[in-house]
Amino acid sequence: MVGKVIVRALRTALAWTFIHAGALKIWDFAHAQSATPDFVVAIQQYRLLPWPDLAVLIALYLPWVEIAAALGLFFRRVQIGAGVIIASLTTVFMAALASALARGLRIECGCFGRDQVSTDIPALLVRDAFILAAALFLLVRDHLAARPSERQMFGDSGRFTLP
Amino acid sequence: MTRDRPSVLGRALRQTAILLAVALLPAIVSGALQLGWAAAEPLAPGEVRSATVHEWGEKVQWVDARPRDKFEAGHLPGALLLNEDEWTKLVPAFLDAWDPDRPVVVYCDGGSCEASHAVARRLREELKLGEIYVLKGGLAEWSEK
Amino acid sequence: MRFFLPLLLAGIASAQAQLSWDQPSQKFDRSPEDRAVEARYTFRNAGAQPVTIKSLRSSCGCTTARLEKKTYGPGEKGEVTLNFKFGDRKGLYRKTVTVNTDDKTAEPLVLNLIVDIHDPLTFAPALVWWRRGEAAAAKSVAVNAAPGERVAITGVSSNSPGFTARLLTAQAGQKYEVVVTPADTAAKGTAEIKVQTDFPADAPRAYTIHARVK
Repeated sequence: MVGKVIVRALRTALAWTFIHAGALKIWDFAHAQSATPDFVVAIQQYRLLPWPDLAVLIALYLPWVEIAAALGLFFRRVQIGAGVIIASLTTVFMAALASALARGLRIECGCFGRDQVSTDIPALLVRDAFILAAALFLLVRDHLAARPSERQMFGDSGRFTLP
Repeated sequence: MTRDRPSVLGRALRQTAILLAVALLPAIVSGALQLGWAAAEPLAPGEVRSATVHEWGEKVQWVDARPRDKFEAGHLPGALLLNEDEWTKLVPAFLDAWDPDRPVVVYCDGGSCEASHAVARRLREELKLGEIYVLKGGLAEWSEK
Repeated sequence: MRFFLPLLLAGIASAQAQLSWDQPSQKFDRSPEDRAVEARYTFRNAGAQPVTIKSLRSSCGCTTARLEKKTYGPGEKGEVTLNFKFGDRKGLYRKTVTVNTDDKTAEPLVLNLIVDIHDPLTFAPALVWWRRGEAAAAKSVAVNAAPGERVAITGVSSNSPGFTARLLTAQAGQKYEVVVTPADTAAKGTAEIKVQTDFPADAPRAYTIHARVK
């Protein structure tokens, strides 16, 4: 029973993290001073994307993906997919952090509101590693617990049931 | 009748696809709203939108108000460097290239950057040039299309 | 609600932690010869917890900052030094630097560095130009010293034979006129007209009036 409580706590914590991350970005976008919020510009600054518009599209879509995946953790029907999305996003974030410059305290001589680089990159990487571990643990557990027959995901009424 | 159990990978992909699709609708709605609001944002005096500059096409004389190293890393086609760090040194070359019959559009990075406004102000007030504009949103909002 | 237990656990409230700043907003009057201004912003950790400064973010325009270390214990004092290079700027400028700390109870603090880079001489306008084919008439530039100041113009010279420049003195040290005449306006032309002054005494400035035929 302790195991079940831990799993539930982990699931909730993970969901909360990503709902929070997604909601924050949406809020940011809605209240941006200029039409292009600072974090979109930050994405463009990395010059990873072929055209600037792509950054805007990603910035509009990503927070909703985060929220959908976070909520998806609670629905057995899409749990695995949710876990895959969350683990993938975390891996991408970690890769981006790892490749970012971290030269200790420095001035961001940028016109952009949000720091692309904080001095605490190692701490962020550690935090993300924990998130990744939690996501993978949950993913494996959900996969193992998944019923072979889809019929059992439905109650007699035919509705989805929450775990 | 029980269905065949789908492969692990197949199941994962399908569920991922479902979630991505579910996220798409609110993203489109919120995106349309955000971009709708953005277009309605009023222009400050002397500012010009990317769309308008596109209409002017080749006529535009671009002025880059950023520091030299950013300019050298990449700038808009035909842009002249004119910033406040090296104003005295750069103005003569700018004036040589300046054509009174072409609109001048000054840009910098975007976001909270004020350099383009400062340069535009000096062009208008010190040199008394007409048809000086500032690109709203700067490079961040400029697209090649 | 069991779902919100992790939320509560995550929200471990940090004890009151605060940096208190002596003078977050500073104004300076300088002349262009000073080239740069350095401002010191001192602060003290007035809280009970150590505070770590995570980043210093400047507004666009390149103000550099120095900070000796990042973490300050309770009662400890520190200092942020801002350096703003003038370049060729003149007039009033305001640079801001936002200080981000790990203190969740406080908003990021904005340091203000305001500089009035004072140049006593104004040129109205700094450019005279003619269209090709336009009458090659003289155009004049009004040169005035700011009220209460005294700047004498000692000479004007054109770097091109295509344009001549003449100095008229309305009131020595105060009010002048520079009259520029093109030789002709048949073809495009360029000239930079140097206006030599006697101010400041140790390194007198030369200004430029631009002349063009377009």
